[in-house]
Amino acid sequence: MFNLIQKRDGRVVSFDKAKIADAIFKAAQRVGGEDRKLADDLAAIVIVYLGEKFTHEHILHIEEIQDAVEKILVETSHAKTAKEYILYRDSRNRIRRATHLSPKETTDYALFVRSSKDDIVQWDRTKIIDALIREAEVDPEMAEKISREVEQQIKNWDVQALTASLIREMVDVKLIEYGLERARRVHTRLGLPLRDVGKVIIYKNKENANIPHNPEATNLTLAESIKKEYALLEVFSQDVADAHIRGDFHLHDLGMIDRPYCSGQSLEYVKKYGLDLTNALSIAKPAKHPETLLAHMVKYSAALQGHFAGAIGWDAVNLFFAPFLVGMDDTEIHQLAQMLIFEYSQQSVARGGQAIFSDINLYWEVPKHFENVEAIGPGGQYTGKTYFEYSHEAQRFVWALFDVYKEGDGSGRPFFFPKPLVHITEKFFKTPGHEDFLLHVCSVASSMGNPYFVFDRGETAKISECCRLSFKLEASDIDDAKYPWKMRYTALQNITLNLPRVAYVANWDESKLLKQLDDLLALSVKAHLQKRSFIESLLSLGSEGCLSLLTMKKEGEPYLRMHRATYLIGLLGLNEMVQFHTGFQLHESEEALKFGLKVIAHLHLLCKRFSTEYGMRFVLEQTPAESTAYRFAKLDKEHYQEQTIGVVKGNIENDNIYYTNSTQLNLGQIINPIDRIKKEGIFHNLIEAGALTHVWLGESQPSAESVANLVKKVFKNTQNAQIAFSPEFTCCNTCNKVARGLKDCCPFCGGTQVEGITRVTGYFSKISGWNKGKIAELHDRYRSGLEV
Amino acid sequence: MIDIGVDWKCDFGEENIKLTDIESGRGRLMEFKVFGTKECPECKASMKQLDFYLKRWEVSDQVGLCFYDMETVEGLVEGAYNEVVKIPTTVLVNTVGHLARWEGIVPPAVDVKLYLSDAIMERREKVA
Repeated sequence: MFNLIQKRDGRVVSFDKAKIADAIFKAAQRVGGEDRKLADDLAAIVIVYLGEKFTHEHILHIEEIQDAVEKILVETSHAKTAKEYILYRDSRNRIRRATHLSPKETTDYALFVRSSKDDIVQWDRTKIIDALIREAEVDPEMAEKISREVEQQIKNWDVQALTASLIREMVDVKLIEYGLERARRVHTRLGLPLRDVGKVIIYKNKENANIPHNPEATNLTLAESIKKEYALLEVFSQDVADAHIRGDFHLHDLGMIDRPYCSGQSLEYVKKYGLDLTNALSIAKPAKHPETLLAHMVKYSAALQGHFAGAIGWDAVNLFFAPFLVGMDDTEIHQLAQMLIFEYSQQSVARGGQAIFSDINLYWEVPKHFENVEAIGPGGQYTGKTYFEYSHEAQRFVWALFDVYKEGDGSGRPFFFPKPLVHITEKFFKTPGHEDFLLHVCSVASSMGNPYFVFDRGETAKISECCRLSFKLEASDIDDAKYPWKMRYTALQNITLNLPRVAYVANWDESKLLKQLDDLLALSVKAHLQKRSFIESLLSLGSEGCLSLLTMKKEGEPYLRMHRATYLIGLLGLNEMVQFHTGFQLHESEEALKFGLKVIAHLHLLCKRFSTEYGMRFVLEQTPAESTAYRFAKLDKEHYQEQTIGVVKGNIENDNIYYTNSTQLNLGQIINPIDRIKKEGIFHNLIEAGALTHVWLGESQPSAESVANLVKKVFKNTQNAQIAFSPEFTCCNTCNKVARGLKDCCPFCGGTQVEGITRVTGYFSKISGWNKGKIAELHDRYRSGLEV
Repeated sequence: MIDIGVDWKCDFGEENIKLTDIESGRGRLMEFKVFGTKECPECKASMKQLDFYLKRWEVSDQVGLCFYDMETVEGLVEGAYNEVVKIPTTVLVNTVGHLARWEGIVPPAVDVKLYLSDAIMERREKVA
């Protein structure tokens, strides 16, 4: 047996029999051969032949092996393969000769290719053939033909720098010429033009106002752009991808295609199991001290943020912290509350260096479903008490949290994260101290705007997160509440429908409009199935896959409970859809409002039907649509120019345009806040996955009593699911002071280096990071002082 | 014609619903709107009992009765508009607005009679 061979460049390397078989098989494949075993057998004959001709000590030269292969192929009657092998060998020799003989010619310099592996390699036409056969399943003859044509073209051109991407593009053009569209699709190269990469590095991306501009953020943008292309080519079918590109609907977070959308969970998981994450460098046992528990919670949030595209929500945070707070005085509890809020608002650890998009669900009362649950305390041990017995500690902690929110950050600015979601329930109003607590929270709502008021009427219970998303707890979830660490919920994907376009296409024909909605929803369901299938394929890789964290099984079932996943159908521009179809906006006539309800009811029932059909939870959601409201408006203005006149909102002249979010009423209209809350609220019961009404406060700062009064009225007299009050602030970068309202210069020092802050969709952010559509919306917003 | 009870039938017309035309002034003085589903026993009971009361007190010509199926688009629209969150919900409306509301229960006869007293009185006066 031979041990070594000598290559043409003189290097001596190990002898590998498999390479002989590979070469024979590749030649055979190019002429239609499929028998790999036969190639192996022929390689064995070649070795026997070489053994007869040379001693085993002889270092074979590559040319000697190739001569032997040719001879054996001919002698064993494999003429076609032999011919192919000879031709290939000859072409390689000619290229080699050309390169060797006249190295100064520019064409030959070009024949050194910058490969995609950070290397400069010699031109090798067979690589084109290999790629076409392996990646695109092009038949060998066609691959050979294309490779020769591309090679000829390269020779004809005066190419200074030949790159792998250029060659691939040339090959793709050939595939198109030969009508091999499917092959082109899978053979395509993903990436960005040079100029675009430069732009990404230099300028801030305004698609998401939560993402800062720094090297981590530009990494995110660049990586996302490739994953987005991958998703549209590989994860979704062409009809789905086309519908997204056209703007019929929007597939959210395509750049994070390999993650579920968002996650809601219980702190009990961290309390019970500690910080023991798949692939982590160290493992922490369950926390014994409140500060440690807080550290575990924040670090776990950061780890989850790297596995989800959206928000990370925590249920009943003040209640689940309570067993750790026994015996702490007010100062200590205040300090812990301060640590929690600062930790979340200052951690810039994942997804482009953005702060963790985090939500904490808070209760004044102990929710009914947790009353009799055994409490877990320090060290992951049961304390022997129920959570009901910790209501005092839970109330002290939630009070302290709102003390901190009210103080604001070091400059008195509102905290952006974590978002506090205060649940208002029937039991809330029966719990002692609720009046004072409500006033406390409402004073924060008025001064800083942080709280979201989540209304859980009747027996309803929810975990809320993201901009407005809610996971409504079902009977089985209430059972799970006995073991709260099991309460883990995810929305796998969000797909938002462009409702105004449906109306444009229907052209005032109602039956056509409803049929359009049917078709669009059916296509959305198809997209959801494709995303689910992709995520399942990643999960199936278990601890070897990129979602290994979500596959860990601490209590029998994987962290990501796919059976409890929801699939979101987002809504955008109902107001404009109704306006085009009926001539009136939602607030302008009862007919318009009822038509809007008809559309949403129709979609709600369709979701139910598809849910039954597929055994999945398809639910409507009010999409935050931070960039989608702008994208749809812009696309429609371009493709449905006539129809959008007078319908699209904002300033058409300078392209600062948008559609009204979800099912909300025109936000520029002077509508009494309670009327707006009531009218928008009639849609909310049909939108199971979450809805929200904004009250834009602007500069005004109503009394805590006025806000509390409104909150009570909303709970008792409307069906609105959630409200938030949004003040506006100007922060001076010179003197660091904060003023109420949006100003061009600092009212304290006169400095012009100021930054505006207010709520963009479902979270606070700096206005300088907003897209054009959101800037236009900000201009239009009707601010109310609650003087109702 | 949809059969939602043993001996009670409601003609919902082609649209699966029959709206009493109060707004145009050609309809009745009042209308009971019952929001429910076809499978819900309390919803059926609400319809049957209200139908029985209206006939017994001979005010069917003045007081409408309509069932809204919350599993249809039309029912959901009207239900959302009337802020219905549980079934059965019965609302009594006149041309001005809501007069009464019963959530999750069958409207008790004593309540219904109280609200219909004017119509019953008018009927008695006509008969007299």
